[in-house]
Amino acid sequence: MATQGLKQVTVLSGKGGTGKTTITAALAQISSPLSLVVDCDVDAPNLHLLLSPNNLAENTFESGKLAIKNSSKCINCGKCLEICRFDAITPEFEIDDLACEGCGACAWICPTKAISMNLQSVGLIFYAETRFGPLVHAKLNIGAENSGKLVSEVIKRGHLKAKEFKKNFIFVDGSPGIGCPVIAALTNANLVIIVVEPTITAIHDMERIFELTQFFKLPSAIIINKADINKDQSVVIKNFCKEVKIPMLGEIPYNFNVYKAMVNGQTILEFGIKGVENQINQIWDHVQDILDK
Amino acid sequence: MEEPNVNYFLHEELIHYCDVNTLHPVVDELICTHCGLCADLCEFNALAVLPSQVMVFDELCHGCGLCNLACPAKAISEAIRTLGTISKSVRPQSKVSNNSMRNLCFYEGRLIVGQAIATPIIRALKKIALEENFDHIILDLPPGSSCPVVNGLSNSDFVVLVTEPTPAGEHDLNIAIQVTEMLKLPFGIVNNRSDIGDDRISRLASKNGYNLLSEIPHDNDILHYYSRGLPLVGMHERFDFVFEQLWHQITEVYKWQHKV
Repeated sequence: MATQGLKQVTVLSGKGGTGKTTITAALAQISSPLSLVVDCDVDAPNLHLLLSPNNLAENTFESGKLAIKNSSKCINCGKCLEICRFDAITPEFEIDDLACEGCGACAWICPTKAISMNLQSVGLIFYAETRFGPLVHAKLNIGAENSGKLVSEVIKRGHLKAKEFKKNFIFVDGSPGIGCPVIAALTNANLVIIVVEPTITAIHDMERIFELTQFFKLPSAIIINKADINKDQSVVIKNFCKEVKIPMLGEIPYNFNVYKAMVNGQTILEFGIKGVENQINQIWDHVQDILDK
Repeated sequence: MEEPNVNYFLHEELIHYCDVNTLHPVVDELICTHCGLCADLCEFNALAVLPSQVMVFDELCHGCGLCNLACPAKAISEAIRTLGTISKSVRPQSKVSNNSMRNLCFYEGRLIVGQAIATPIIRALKKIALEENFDHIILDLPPGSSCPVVNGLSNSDFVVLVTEPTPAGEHDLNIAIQVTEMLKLPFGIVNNRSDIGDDRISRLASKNGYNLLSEIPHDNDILHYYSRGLPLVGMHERFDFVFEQLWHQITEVYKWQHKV
């Protein structure tokens, strides 16, 4: 193995449902035992459904605060309502938990110290073993804020575990979108793989993710999934790659058996979908070449 | 806002409606005593005070203004930063051919690439939409269950959860149901591509008494139209029927749940 040091590959798509998790699981399998996988789609994690992890450790992650009012100290002066920029204080001077950003301005201004700021549990972080090696994954509490901080923490732990087990590669399965959890998943990435399907919407989202990688000056590459559902749009994607000079790693054809594999809890390689193994092999070789440079 | 896609199917002509802005601190180093209070108070680690310099990390700032208010030397002011934009459809009457869309008004929120916080854009969009007296407001929300979803969902009269019958579909649906139930909102489920996996969604619905609003089987034509950005309604009678039925179901379930 020519690759020196630990390399992080983050898999993103912008749009949901293009096949990030399916492809990350296949890459985890093909690169095993040299790799560790991190599931950073903390608000809707799915990688564990394919990797059936055996969780060895579980930690609560706390971050961010929430204002709590002590009604017996409150004198209804209304200063909290005036200062709050998030409409999180009701006209009756109660705190709207869902609107509260945890900034602490109300607690600071309160003359009677009736408001305190309490640390919130954001979610759980798991360290697990899978048939392809270690997995670090997490689960955001229902409705919790600070998913970006949870993602950063999950990646940090992934790196620690990868070093401990002398792994060469970390695969990060990111969440859809371009907001804070996605930006957090880009941290430390040596390569960002953008999984796109040949649809107008997915292409638009690919362009926004690409722009984000440019914003953070990170190298990126494209995989076209479900490549044959619209050949004209696949050409559009290939032309985009040429235009912005990023590598096209490979094309994976649309196949109904992908859903059957999912239902069985298998990767597309394990299910043995025709033609897929060659494509994934080719993609993995290409990824290693890029990381070696 | 992070990935605004609805207009790839509506093809509305859009004009800029407003920017969604937030504030972040600007420190006057000449007045600043570098006491460090602002950094101590900031819950978002958006300020770092060095012996002779203050560093501001705009992208971490939530714009609460606490640093500005608390600064004993009054060295902090606030500058505007644009997080995203809101656009609105323009519809010259002459162009409108499809009668059913005559009264449609469309707003789109768009997060600027590189900005992390999308929630203020959702809040602004909802505020704008509520100020106009529409009969119905349909919000297309992002995937997942974090702050933008929670903020988008709150105060909804009805929530339509779209899933597919795979382990991932069921898993994420359960998360979405938990968020919806936490907010005490009535909801119904659409089982999209209902024949690609197994019968887990219908089983889940009947076991828990959830409303299954519609089951839409996989259809290569849908895939094809979708990939080209064509709306399904108006493409074929069978799609018109599916969505008429869905809308009917939503209104019926809503009426039943609200006892009207």
